Amino acid sequence: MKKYGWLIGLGAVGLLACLPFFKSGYAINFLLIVFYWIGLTGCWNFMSGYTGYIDFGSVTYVGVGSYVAGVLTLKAGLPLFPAVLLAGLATFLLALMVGWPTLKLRGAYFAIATFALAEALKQVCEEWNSLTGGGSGLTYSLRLDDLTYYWIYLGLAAGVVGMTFFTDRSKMGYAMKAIHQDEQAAARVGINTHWIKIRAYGQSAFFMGLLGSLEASRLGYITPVDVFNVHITIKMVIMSLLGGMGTILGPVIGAGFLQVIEDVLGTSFLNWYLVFIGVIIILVIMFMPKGISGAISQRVARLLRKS
Amino acid sequence: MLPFIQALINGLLLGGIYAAFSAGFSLIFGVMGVVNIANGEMVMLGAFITFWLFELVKIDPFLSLPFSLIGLFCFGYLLQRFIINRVVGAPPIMSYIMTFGIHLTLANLALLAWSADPRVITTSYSGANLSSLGLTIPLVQLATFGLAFIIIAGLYILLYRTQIGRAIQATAQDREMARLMGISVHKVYAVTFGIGAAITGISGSLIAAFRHVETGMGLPYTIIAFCVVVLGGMGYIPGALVGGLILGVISSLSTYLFTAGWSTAITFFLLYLILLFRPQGILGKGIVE
Repeated sequence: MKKYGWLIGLGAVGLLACLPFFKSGYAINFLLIVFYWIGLTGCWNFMSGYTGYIDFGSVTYVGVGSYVAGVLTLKAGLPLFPAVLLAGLATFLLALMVGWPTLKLRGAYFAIATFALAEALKQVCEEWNSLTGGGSGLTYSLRLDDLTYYWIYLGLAAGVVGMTFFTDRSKMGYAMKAIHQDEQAAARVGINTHWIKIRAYGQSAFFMGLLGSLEASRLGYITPVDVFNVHITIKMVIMSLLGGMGTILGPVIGAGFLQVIEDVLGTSFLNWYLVFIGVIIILVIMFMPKGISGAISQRVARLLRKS
Repeated sequence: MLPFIQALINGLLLGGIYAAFSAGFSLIFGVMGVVNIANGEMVMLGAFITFWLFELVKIDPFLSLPFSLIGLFCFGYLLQRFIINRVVGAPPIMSYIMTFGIHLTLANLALLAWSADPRVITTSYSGANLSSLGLTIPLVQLATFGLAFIIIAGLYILLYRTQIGRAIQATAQDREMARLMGISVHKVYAVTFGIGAAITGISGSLIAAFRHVETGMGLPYTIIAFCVVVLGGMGYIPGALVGGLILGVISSLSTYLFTAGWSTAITFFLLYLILLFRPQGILGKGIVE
């Protein structure tokens, strides 16, 4: 099963890629948002789920990506795709620079530091009027059609999940899991733990930059408060947790599950929806600390043992 | 020069109140390693207790302090006993997410119950000032500043001079050993959380005496508490006082010199740099993982 996992995954992506020929409208719009969140959550899971370094400021890379691509298309007149690629590159480099000192911190300190940085950059975008348009925001002039976004997001989500799949049982993946369990022991057996963490951080930031800038162009209008919103980070964390942290399919399950709930409840009960999410989070932590996929695999393991 | 001194005074006055609601946050982290993201909601609940007591039965904001003290102690005790206790000792992420879930639940329940309207308490002494030499000191803020000091001193005495305080300290230092010595660890945790919530709640009541009360006020105060506690040293109670005063002065002075927006940016960059270069806090007595 695990050996052919990539074949099944490829088949699923192929089927989803053909879906727009049979369905259109709402289903496509809903799914593209699910893919977007699978991508972002996958990035968060790749870094924080595997290494145990809880990043509370991931939205930094979504925000910086959005602004880099926005400024490049508006002020430098670049077409959308080169701008998006450059945004990804910029977030990758920023992550290497930020990661170098920040990844030396541990536990709550790493979480608070990344959070502080995201808030600081939000304020800089808000105050730097000449470049970012300040609090009144930035309008993207270039937009693709929804179907293109559907395929691109599907591709990126598959890319991130695929990256996780192939890293999971590579040398890098084992090193990341070793860091999660006991970083000092990992360092003692010769793993360059600092470099592994920076690499994972950079890789996930690259995809977040791509996704962030594309989503900004899809929405057409960004403000610092929107693209650096702490709730974007929180959503990645919650989706990872719901699905199961440090697993390949966790982000897919978590993002799918939460987005469906949001779609069902969010439209009709806007305020109650957030209360429900709060309660769901509390209950999941209390009764399913390993997420939905963890709870399912425990059940399955118990059944197999019985039979 | 005069506006500069005025900004300094404003910063110190603000810093006292920052210190008070951050002390509870620091206590909870120091004793059980839980980063309480719902800290700001305790501020919000305390502020609303004061507001409703004033609005409905005309109790003076300063006389409402015992009500928010007792109310939030019970609330914190039960919250820890039945919910948060599950994540003590689990990987830290569990506690962030759990308390974030509590934040989300409380903030949005409050929003449903009381709407997003900002509310103000206006008493007969609300606008009173003490002024001389061209400087003005708002009386209400001066009083809350003094009370904030008393709150922190009270917490200090409770921790270092009483039986329950010693039990809390023992549990913080070595949970297993404390248990073997006959301390009921779960009870200590629940009491600690109750105390933390109670101090934060009273600070919220004090804030209600001179600032807007609204349902969305929680998260910003949690973020300020992060900054204060990191500056002073995580888990070190007197550090909250130092951190609070420093943060109050920095944000007030940088607002005076630049703009409010840049002041926030400076605060966060400062927080980031302190974490990188001095994670044990300015005094060097915080817990370092």
